[in-house]
Amino acid sequence: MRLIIGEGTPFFNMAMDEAMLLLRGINAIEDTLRLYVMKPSAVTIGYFQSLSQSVSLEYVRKQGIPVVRRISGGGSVYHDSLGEVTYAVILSADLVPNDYLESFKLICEGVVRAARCLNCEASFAPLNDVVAHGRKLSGSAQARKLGALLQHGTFMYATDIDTLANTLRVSRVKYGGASTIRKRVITVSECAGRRVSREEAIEALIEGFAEALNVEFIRDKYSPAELELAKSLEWKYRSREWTALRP
Amino acid sequence: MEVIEASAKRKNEKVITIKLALNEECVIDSAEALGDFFAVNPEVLEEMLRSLAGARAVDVKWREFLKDMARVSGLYGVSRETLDSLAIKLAKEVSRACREDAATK
Repeated sequence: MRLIIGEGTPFFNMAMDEAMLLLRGINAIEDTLRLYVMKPSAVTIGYFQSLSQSVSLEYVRKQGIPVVRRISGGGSVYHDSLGEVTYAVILSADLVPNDYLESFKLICEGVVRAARCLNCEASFAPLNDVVAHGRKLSGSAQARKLGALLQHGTFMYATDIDTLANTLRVSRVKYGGASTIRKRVITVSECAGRRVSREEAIEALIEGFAEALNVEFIRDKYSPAELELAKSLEWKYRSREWTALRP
Repeated sequence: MEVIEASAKRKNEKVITIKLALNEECVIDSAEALGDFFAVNPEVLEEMLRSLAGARAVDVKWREFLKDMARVSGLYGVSRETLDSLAIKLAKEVSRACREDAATK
């Protein structure tokens, strides 16, 4: 299985995830694990989310934190450039169960094993989370197109939880009141009882996904087709129209 | 133009909100679904909601509509019970808004 490690703007990263999903759907690329860091730190929101209801717009504006809408469903996510690695698994949908829950469980096992590699006992929590000590360590989202599947999600090895809590707005319907994000989220570092570095987090994710998916990874680079398609999709992710599709 | 909305969520499920913009005649101008749920075919879900434009809100059978929307679009993370609860809330909101509209005419 291909492995690509990199960093980039949130606009590029979301465009590349979509480009790889489409290219996998037409068999133009192989199954791939991509690990990336958002530079700068950013917020991504789910395809069906309301921008103003899921993000503290005043806070992100003041802090200069970009917000990008994903093509995948799910909730809002803070990607800390100094404390979070995002993973994206792009596969033929034939390789995973058709059922959303089962497919989330299969792919999230990579995150569970990565956390365990770092001495953090974690487990899958339906529908799309990984938890440790009853607190959220990772959230994932999926999109499916042309017979291919994209699952991307977070691995919070040392995320600044205060910034995360200030950035995201918690649904009153979902949590029944004021934000309790700080109490509901944990980092791998906190779980492991020591500061985990980005390099360790990346190595653990590679090991965790290799075990969970029973594959060997071969380091690779983006193909010209991936770069070209991502470039042509990036305008969408930079546009106000897309981000505020549901104001 | 009046905008009404109804939301539903059960434990360990995703939030779903249906938002309707109604004109003075209580006819749907636009409809959208918001939340952190998943859909295998999001475009189908959006198209079904768009197809509501022009319908009188009180004439829509919300339970059936939401059930069909979920089935056809592959909605995930929201159970049938949640959709039933959403349909009831939505029907109540529509009834309230349309009654008020009629009363002010």
